[in-house]
Amino acid sequence: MTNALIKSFLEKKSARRLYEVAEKNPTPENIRALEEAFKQYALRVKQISYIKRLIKGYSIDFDKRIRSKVVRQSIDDEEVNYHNLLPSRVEVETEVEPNELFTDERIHRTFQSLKDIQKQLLIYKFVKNLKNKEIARLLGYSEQRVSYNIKSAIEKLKKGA
Amino acid sequence: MELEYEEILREFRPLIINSLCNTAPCYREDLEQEIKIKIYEKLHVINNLKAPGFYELLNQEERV
Repeated sequence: MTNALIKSFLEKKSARRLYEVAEKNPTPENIRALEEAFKQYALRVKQISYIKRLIKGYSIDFDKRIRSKVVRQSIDDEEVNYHNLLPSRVEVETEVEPNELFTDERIHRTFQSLKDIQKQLLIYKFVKNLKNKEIARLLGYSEQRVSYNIKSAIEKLKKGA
Repeated sequence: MELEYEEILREFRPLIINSLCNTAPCYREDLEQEIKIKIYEKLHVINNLKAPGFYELLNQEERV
């Protein structure tokens, strides 16, 4: 007998006795007595394992939900902090004078010819030292859009130099 | 064999406490409440579980 449930059932002395009696003398009464004792035992085991799985599974699920909630909150807080730390968009644009950034007159002129968004992104990236992900979140752009515009702005600056 | 709601909570208290210990303290009360609600919701499932018969299981095993 390899079935774990039967094995554990027969470890009980009273169950073992019922089984031996039913095997030696398989009358309907003896078989019914064994069956009833086993059904009670098996049902109890099933109930216990169901409740255990319910409690454990639900606790794990609860923890996952809490963790994702905490992560979401921390991301939101981060956004608020960045907004507080950073000057507003207008301030950033006026605070840094492009002629303070470039000593080379040609690069300065090329920078001035860039689109507003490209100028703004370059300042965030190289003056404020923000990551693309942070810039994207701040400005409500996709990361790809930020990355593409920064690359094309750098290309234009190289050509103008 | 019907299990009462209170009986389940009493009997599985150690397991519930163990689960609470693995959760951040500020969320333990919430988790405990939710576990109790979940057990209450599943009470009919718990009390409608079916157990196999002894010889039914034995025959299954022999067939395998």
